[in-house]
Amino acid sequence: MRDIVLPLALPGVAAGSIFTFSLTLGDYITPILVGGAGSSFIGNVVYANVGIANNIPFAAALATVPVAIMAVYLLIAQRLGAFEAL
Amino acid sequence: MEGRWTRLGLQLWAALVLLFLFVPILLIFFYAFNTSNIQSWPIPGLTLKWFSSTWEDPDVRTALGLSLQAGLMATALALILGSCAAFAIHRLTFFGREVVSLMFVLPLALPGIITGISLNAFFSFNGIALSIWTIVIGHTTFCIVVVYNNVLARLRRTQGSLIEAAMDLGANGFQTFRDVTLPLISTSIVAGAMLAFALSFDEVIVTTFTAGAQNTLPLWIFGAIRLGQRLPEVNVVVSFVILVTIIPVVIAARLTGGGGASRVPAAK
Repeated sequence: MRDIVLPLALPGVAAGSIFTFSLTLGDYITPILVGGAGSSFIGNVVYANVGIANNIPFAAALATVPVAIMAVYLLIAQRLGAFEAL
Repeated sequence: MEGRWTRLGLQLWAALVLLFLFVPILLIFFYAFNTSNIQSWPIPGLTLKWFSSTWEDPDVRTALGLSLQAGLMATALALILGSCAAFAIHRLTFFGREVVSLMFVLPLALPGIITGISLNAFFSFNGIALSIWTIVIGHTTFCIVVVYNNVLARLRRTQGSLIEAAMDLGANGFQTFRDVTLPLISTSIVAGAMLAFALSFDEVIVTTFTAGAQNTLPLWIFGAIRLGQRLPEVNVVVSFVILVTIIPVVIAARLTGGGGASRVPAAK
């Protein structure tokens, strides 16, 4: 298990984690509906600033944070061979 | 390989995960038939009245129409662009092919809020008013990915010798495509279209940023839940959206053989 199965499955696990992680990173629907008070995720703040506060530059600046996180994440995933398992 | 207890434990675990995923969804279906408009368990009785009141709600009807239109158009666009892209990546070798291939998949790997806000900024920068067309463009960005993945996976599994044989026997490029290539990849194209439509039909985040005053069905649900209005109707609409989304996905999984409908095999 540790020496054979896990290393073989690792690229697939990394590939799967790309989508789950990215979906979670930008989501504001779930926090609004089931998060209760004080659930301010990146997505919520961006959403509030575009829709309600109309502070688009701030929202855009904040939105670069998940872009950067995803870029780093994708680089690591590439090292693990995730793109061949996509 | 595994002992009896390991097997039993895995089965139990899988069952728990499935319950965790699907019990809330089943609950929605029950609430859609609830006689009371207060959501509490157990439900006092069964009724169909919410179905008729939902069907007669003009807002829901408009939203349904818009969702269907946007879904169909985005699917059509994604079919053309996605399968063309898959053919280009499969047939041609050019500088930066792997990078281009990655960039086709990226819209699905980026958080929806990024796609949404960048499209929104792009449209307002160019003075394009938000309409059904901007929704279609937004949905197409990620619908392309599923079509592309499915068609490319099929092309990689298809034997090149079949196409070569057709060419050897005197078929021209168009004949080969119509009589050999297209029948070989047709199920993957249909599967890609089904998944694309399903994705488009229940998309909220990108839609929020690319829709103007219009409401698609998911946007209507989101708005109604947040305001706490018309919750019985929400249950009906949600049940409907779940069915419309699940059925194409099941068909797509059948067509591509097994559950991994959108995966691309490692073989190249």
